[in-house]
Amino acid sequence: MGIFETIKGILADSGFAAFFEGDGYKNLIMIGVACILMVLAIHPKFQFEPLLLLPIAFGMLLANLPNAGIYHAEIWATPEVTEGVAQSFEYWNYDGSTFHILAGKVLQHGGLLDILYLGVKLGIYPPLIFLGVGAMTDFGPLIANPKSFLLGAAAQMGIFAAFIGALLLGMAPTEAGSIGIIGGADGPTAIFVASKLSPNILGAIAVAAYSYMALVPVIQPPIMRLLTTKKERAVKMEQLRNVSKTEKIIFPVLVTIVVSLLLPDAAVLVGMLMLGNLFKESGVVDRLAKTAQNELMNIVVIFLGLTVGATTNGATFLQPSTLKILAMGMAAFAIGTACGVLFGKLMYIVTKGKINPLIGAAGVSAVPMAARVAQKVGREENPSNYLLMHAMGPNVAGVIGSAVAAGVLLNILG
Amino acid sequence: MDLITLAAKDYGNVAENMGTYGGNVTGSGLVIVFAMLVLLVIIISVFGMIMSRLSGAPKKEKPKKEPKAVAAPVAVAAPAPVASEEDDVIAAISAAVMMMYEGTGKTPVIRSIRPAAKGVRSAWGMAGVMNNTRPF
Repeated sequence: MGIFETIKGILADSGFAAFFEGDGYKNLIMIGVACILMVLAIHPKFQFEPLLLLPIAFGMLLANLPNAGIYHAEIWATPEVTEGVAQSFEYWNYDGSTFHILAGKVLQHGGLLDILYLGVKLGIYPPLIFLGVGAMTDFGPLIANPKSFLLGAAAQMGIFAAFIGALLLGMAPTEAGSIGIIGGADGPTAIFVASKLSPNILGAIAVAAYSYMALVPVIQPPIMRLLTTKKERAVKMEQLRNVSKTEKIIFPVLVTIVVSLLLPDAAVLVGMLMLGNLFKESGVVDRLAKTAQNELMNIVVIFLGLTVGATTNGATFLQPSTLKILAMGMAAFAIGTACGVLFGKLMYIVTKGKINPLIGAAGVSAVPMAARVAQKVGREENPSNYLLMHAMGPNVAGVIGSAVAAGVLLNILG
Repeated sequence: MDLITLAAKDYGNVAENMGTYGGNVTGSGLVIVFAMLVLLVIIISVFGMIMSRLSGAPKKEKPKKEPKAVAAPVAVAAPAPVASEEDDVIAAISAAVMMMYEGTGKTPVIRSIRPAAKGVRSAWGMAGVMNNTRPF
């Protein structure tokens, strides 16, 4: 073989050539999308959720490099029916029958991201993220003002409104459930539900969920201003009572027992959230609390971001359905915010003006961004108004609320 | 082929899905989410009350209604007397005010020092809140 043929063969096997074969051009488009997302994550003007957006964008880039073999969409897209095989494990219900994928197939033929992706498929990463979130969360404002739970519940209405919207757009109920959960504005919960109900659209769900969470300061304020009066926005709330350490220690145990007994499907998310919180509040396992907050959280964020980004393969992501998902996700988020604010208005009336309705918008989770937005919009009306701690109550209630809503969806549709 | 279309095949059409799942998921979902969180409100409220009693926290006393003044009204033109007669406190507050005006070329005159109204954050508390919330 001459030098010319050798070089020609290498070029033919290269990724450049693959861009011009079949659906290869879609990979090229996705690489462009990945670069745009990286700009949104890195550029000082944007910096949209860089901790997650950057690994997601780079995972997207890696997965769309032809012939690189880092991630194989075909392993996950065409599950084999191998019932009765000892090494197999059950994955998901798809088209009405149960499919199995050999763990060995992933380990033998899979690339790095295929192996890491097992953590998403088996629902391991989202609960671990919740462990870290719990270790970083102060439930004090929620304990001091338990009524905040109601605002956290009201903001979950967006999930179910988007579910109806997605059904009307002709989507399957499982996909509709995964799309609706975007309204919970909780990335790990959205990934957890989508990986169980509709793994085929997981990438689009994750990108939509994290994009909208990053856009909280843009999406929420117009809705908040539209639905409230100047007088309502200027309401100063009473200072919260001090919460004792004992209360903070008993709270996670109590919530875990109550929620898990009533809704076992939510146990894994709520349980891990509360375990992390117990690490923090007990004060006796500082090392564990710090590990959950920092090292473990960071490691899982890298794995989760990279692998979720990898699912956005050109062939599966560049579909009309992705646009529907993005549109319905936005609707879910907006409706959730609106319902939270409207419920806040109801509480404003019932309490004769003691509750500022703006804190209702924080019920959509997105901790602590949504609470910061409530603080910012409140201060625009009254610079001496400090709503941040009041908004943290509905904010963390929203995390529990979206985990409960996820449990309901998994129970009915799973 | 669009994966959603592929997956949707096993389900009914839009009308059937709405009938079977729409009302069921939305209705039961909202009821369960609200019921769960209302239950937590009740439990946490009761728990909070128990904890307050155990810790012996003082109950909020209702402000006693002062008898309406029947006598001739007192002149209100003069500023209220300083609540604390401690000279040290007055000196410290005056010094702090003078410090704030240092270098501005203005000379402030302190006419009265009154205690802040109840329920308002202390100056240190307010400074802490401002420090923590300034970025937002």
